[in-house]
Amino acid sequence: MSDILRLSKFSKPRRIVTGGKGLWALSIVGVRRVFKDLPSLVNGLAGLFDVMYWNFGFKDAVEICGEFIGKFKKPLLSISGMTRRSWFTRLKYSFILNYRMSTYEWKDVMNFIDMVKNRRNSKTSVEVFDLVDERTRVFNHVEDHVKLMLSIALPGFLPPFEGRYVSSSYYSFIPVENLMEGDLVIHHFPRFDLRKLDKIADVIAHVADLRAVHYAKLVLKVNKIESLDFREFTRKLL
Amino acid sequence: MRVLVLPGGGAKGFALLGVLKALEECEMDPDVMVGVSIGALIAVGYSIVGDANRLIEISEILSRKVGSILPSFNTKSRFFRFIASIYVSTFSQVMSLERRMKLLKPHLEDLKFEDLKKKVVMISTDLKSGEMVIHETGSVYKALISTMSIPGIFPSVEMNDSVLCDGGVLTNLPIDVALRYDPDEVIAIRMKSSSSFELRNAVDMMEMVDRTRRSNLENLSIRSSPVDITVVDLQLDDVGLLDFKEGVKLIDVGYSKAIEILKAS
Repeated sequence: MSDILRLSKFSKPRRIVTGGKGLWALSIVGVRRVFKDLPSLVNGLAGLFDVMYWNFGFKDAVEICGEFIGKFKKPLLSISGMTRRSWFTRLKYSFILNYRMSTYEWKDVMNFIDMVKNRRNSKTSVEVFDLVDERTRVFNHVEDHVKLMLSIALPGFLPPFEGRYVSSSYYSFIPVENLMEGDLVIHHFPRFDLRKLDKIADVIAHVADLRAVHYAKLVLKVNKIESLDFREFTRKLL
Repeated sequence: MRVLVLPGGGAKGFALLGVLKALEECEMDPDVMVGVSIGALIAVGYSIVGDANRLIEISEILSRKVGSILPSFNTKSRFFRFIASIYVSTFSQVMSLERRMKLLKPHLEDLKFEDLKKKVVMISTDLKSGEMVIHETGSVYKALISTMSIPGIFPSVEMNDSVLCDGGVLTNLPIDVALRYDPDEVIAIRMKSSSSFELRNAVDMMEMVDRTRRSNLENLSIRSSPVDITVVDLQLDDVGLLDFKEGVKLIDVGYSKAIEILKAS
């Protein structure tokens, strides 16, 4: 733990900031092993985990996330750029993205939403992209099922929450626009050199990730915000 | 030293020719031109020809020829989206490199950056590292086809250990590159889109997020610059990315907007 804190140059972080597109956001599972009590600013599936963490504890949160990923494995792997897709899979998602707002509807994830219905925790803040005002926003003082829906509204996966909010993970990969003093940013950016770009659809998805990560890095650099690479984090942890 | 930053934008790049003409009239010739995609091509053209009006004449002739090579699409139509869905899932590129460059290749193939009358710098993106690549020495042609390779439309270019594509993927307004030349003055041209955006599907939604990010990134680069930046904002909505026949109309738009801003600055 002390090694990790030395790495980040923070002796006492006040909040952890993490997230990511698709499965990359699950770095929060490792982060929560260390920073058990700190509040968080998250996006993407990190929001799903964190809401469950504060409601049911670490072990159950891992289990629930596992169940969620198991149910939506193929689209989540695809969103994360972690799989080589077949021609049929590429075609299917291309049609969905071109003709619909999302692959799934809210009713498909209702059992996860119901788990935290009408509950509240003040520790998780969720960053989203507001399609109406065209900017990022943070939600903290809302019920947990709302935080959950805001987190998993990944563009193309589920519809925008209330028709206007999607996860900011497509925009900047991790939350970078709503940081404050004492934030410890932990990022888990993909290894781009390992990807196979077979078809135009793969290139387009790859470029979207490059843009989001580039933006996140630039915002952190310009604002002189210290951040920690999750790979380095886990290396120290182990 | 005056550095001019020329962004990409496909056929909308014709507006940049109008800006060059305005700069000449205001006796504000750039010492260095940093170009992305079509902006890089215009920078090379201006460096060779050395006269904005002559470059406009040549570009008008070329646009008619290029317009007959490049197809013009209504990208919002349902039929286009149907074809596009099949195409992007099946093929690795829309257009071949040879076809795209057949007009320019004979003139540029042997040209080196060192031969250019004015200093030109180009930006491309390495798809493998996700980093920006700066071209300022060696083959102009290779650098050009790299910076102009719009992902998904044109094939990427393998160079050394990199896989290069359009510089605009990461930044369409590389002010940080302009600052490397220790300028007294930076003039940056920014292409803006209209604020209204109809969200009909997930692709529209992603385009909107992309557009906001690009705009915020450009604002961030301008704000964080230690040197004052003269920004020429061009509102160019009526011309599509590959609509080179229509693009010619934008020369006057670029000229009048640039004259207005440069005379005021």
